[in-house]
Parts: sequence; C-alpha cells; structure tokens
Amino acid sequence: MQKFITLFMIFSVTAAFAQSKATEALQIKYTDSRALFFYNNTLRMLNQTEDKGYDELIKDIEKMKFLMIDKPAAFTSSDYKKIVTSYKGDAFEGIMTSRYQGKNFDVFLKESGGKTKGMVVLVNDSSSLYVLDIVGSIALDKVTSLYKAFGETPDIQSQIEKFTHGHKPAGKKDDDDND
Amino acid sequence: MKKIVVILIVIVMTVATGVYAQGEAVSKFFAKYAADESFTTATISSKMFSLITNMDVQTPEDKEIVDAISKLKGLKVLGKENSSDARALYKEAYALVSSKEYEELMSVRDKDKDMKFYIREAGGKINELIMVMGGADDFMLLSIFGEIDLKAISRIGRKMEVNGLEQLEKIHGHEKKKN
Repeated sequence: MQKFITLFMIFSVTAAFAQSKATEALQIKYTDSRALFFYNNTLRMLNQTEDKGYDELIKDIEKMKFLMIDKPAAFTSSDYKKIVTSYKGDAFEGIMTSRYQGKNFDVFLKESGGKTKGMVVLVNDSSSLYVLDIVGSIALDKVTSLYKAFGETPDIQSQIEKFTHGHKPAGKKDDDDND
Repeated sequence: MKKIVVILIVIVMTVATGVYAQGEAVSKFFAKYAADESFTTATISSKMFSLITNMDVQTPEDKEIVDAISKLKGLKVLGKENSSDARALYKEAYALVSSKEYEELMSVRDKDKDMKFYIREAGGKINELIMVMGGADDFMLLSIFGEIDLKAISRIGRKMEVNGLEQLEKIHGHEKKKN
C-alpha cells in the first residue's frame, strides 16, 4: 500500500510539473548548450534586493528552463521547423509566430481546462537558439522584462552566475533539475 | 426534432466561424508565400490577443485599445523589403482583394508608396481589414480579422509603429476617400 502511495505521488508530481519533452530533447541533442533551471523559490531567491516588480513577474511560474544553444554551421531553417513541430507535438499551440531576415520569434502556449499550464518562447537568430520553457504562466507583456531581468539586472545576473558557476554543459543535472 | 436542432447548431457555428475567418483569396496568398524565407511574416492568433487583454492598463486610451484587441481573432502580415519584385507582388495582392469579397475603403499615395485599404463586412460589422502596400522596393500585405474598430486599429498601428495603419484615422464611417 505504501509503495502504491509513493508511486502515485511521484507520478502526480511528474505529471503536474513536467517540463516540455521537446526542450529536454534539445538539451540532449545540443550537448554544448548552456542551461539555467529554476524552481519558483530559486527564482525568488535571486531577488536579493526584494524588487517587487520582479516578484510580480515570477509569481505564477512554477519552474523555468532557459536554454542557450550555439547553433552548429549545419543548422538550417528546416531544423528550426522540426523544433517547432516537436513543440506542437507536445501539445503546445503556436499563438504568435514571426520571421524577419532569417530570425524567428515564436510563442507557444499549453493549456488545460482553460488555464495556462506552460509557455515556450523560441528566439532563433543567426548564431544562436534561445529557448525559454516555463511551467506555469507569465503575463505576455512581461516576457521581455524576464529576458531583461536575467540579462541586464546586475544583482540578478550576478546571482545567476554564482549559482551556475559559469558555463554548465547540457546533460549534467543541476541539484534542482529533478524532472 | 433533436436532429434538426443539432443541424441548426452546426450551421450557426459554421457561419459564425466563417464570419470571423480570413477571406479565402487572401488566405491563399499568404499560404503561397509564407514558406518563402525571403518574406517577413507575422501571425498572431486569437489566443494571443486574449492573453494581451489580461495586461494592466493605465490610461482610458489604453483600455480602449485593449478592449478593441479583445475582439480580434487574428492578424497576419506578409512583407518583403528591398525587393525588385515588390511592384509585381503588390499587383498580385491587389488583384486578389479588389474582388467581390472586399470593399475598398481608402487609397493613399505616400511618396513612392501606394496603400489600399479594404474591408469585409457582415451583419453591419467589419470582420476583416486588409492593407496592401507597394512601393519601388517594398511590399506588405496585412490582414486583421475579428470584430474590428477602425479607430482603435489606427491607434494600435500608431503605437506599434506599423506604417500605414495610422491612415485609418482619416476614415469617418465607411466612406471611400482618395488622397
């Protein structure tokens, strides 16, 4: 009976909090990618200056993975289309797509019972592919703020660098990467 | 009796969907060139619009814009810059929209660019707005569909710096104007 309850709890947690399979597949395929992975409490921990705007930004995010892939020379638009297809196969719906001078910016949403369960933002430029995979939800007008918070807020940026100890090869799990 | 009710419901739903869908000719044009990497494209679905309406708004003007956005079902943009076939694309798109499906609303000549605005109406409401723009080197086709408020779309275009949409401010009612 105890074994059954344990298995049931593990299954429930996995089903509730599973990151996208497509994101995991990308991380496995591109072994040199840089990955940042956060649970909500980790995201809150980064906010050492207690920036209320930042807390508001992340309040509905259960966990988040940010993947930065340096594209190999052989990466083509067909490869990008396959990635998009893989997210659609993961029950994500494309809600905004754009392409400009060979660069792509796409937003995908996963819903269940009328509620947002996950969001993926793909940014594909000439040299890199960025994947922001959020379990939970974030107000769409805050997505660019999130990118800025990680990239431009010195306090949060330094916390991230301390936390990740610089470039971490893909496939090597963080302590928090418990999918 | 039950069968008649079901058939009626299916007919009503089909008509309702058709009213707020993009016109067939324009859809085919988008489909023809969307896969061509030399074109700039953008697509926004009704789901994205419904998420945008959850944004916090500060001013009454912003609230009016968000209310207008909440009634939109989709937006598609197809464009090409620095292209020798811009004029040919413009003529092709113009031939498609200047059909019985659409009514010309306005045409504008701005320096070397021609812009034409078309609408499709049903039940006294505008359910699609088309802007076709062609210049010596640039081409753009924009389609917005849903329940459309021209003044609000004009304000959105001005805020988002979408060249051409601000011209809609010159429209009073549905009169055709030529500048």
